[in-house]
Amino acid sequence: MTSLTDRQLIDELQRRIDQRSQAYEELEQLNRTLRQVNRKLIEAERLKTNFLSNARNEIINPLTAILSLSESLSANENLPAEEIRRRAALIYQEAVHLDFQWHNIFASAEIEAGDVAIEFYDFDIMQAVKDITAKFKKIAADRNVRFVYDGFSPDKLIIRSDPQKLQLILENLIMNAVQYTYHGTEVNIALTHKEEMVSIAVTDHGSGIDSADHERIFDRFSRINPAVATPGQGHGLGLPLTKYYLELLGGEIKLHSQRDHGSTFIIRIPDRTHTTDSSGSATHGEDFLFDQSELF
Amino acid sequence: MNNLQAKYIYSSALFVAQQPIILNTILGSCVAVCLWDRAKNTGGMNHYMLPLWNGVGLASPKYGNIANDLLVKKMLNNGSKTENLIAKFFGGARILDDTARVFDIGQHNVELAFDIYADYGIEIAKGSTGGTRGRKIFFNTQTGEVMQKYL
Repeated sequence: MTSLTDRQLIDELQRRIDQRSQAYEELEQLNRTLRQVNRKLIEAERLKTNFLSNARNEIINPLTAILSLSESLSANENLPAEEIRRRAALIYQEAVHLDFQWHNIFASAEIEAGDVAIEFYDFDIMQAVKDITAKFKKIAADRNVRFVYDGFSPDKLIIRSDPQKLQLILENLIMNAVQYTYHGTEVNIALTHKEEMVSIAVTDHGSGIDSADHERIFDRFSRINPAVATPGQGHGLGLPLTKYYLELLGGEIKLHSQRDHGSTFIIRIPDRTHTTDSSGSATHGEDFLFDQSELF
Repeated sequence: MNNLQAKYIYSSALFVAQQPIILNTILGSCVAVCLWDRAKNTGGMNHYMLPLWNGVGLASPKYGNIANDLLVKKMLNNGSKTENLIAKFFGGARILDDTARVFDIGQHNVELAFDIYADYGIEIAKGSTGGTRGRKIFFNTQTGEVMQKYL
């Protein structure tokens, strides 16, 4: 046995004390995190309850409008052609709302059930954006909102990604912008394509979002200031869904916004045209030989 | 590896097979649980990235607590009984060379699986977890056999 000097003993004790206090600090940190998570979960449960009544309105309101409008069309024999067109347009507008809400709800349910698969195709991203704004044209016109495009010339850009997921991402961003921008302003959609990354920025000229709320808007069922713009619109699934889909596609979302200065949501998605991605494809494994130690 | 169809399980996804199939996936610090029913010769797999959902974002099977509960529930809905189920765990590697980290995600992913399946009273058989290397696994839902290659 070797004898230790006093100095060595003191050093060793000091080292152990340091270790202990470090461990203690880490424990404190974990405890704080746990308390935070606890608060979040309580909040999540409360929001879930709100969600049910929100979702109910989202579905029942447009459906009621569609029912009564179509009923009035078929019951009135002597409606002028102009009036028929007007009511048909209203039915279409309500149906667009309903379709959009349903897609959000079903997509979120799919994600939460683990049933999501990614399918990459080549498609025209500019056309995809134009199709969405065409669909929301009436809703925008009602609020006297114009779409302003930037970076859309030449008017075709073929990229490879998952078009269905991207469509829902863009529908959410553009629909939000249309609803939150002030009456009579514009919604700007800017597109850039650089080094196999597509970036789309959607800007509204509404009341903006406090920086304190920038994280929270991506939480499930949460809606910041629901009284703004159109009361009763939205159920708080859109942005969490958008963020999740972007992660899935290898992209990201950023928010630039200040109170009273409008909001810009910027998404970046990789264009996989030149990617030979093997991780996603199912491999049969015939190429592998396994020995006993690799079998479980 | 015989004529069975193969299906890749993306991260945050899960799948319970109705017909015999080879479920495969690639793992780093993520964990995949292969759950096999020895009475019905069926199985399912999940693939989660983080241990616990913290209330942020969607409550998806990206998180172990959700992914494992969902996998067990889906197997039970499919007619399996817990006493016939066998769980094998794979992945949970420490990929970043960062041993000083307090929170080793891979290890926590694995520990969570052991806790949850013990709670369910489901038998846990030998799998392959931890270490520092990624894995590719193939789960034959008919035989319950899992083949693994280190990456």
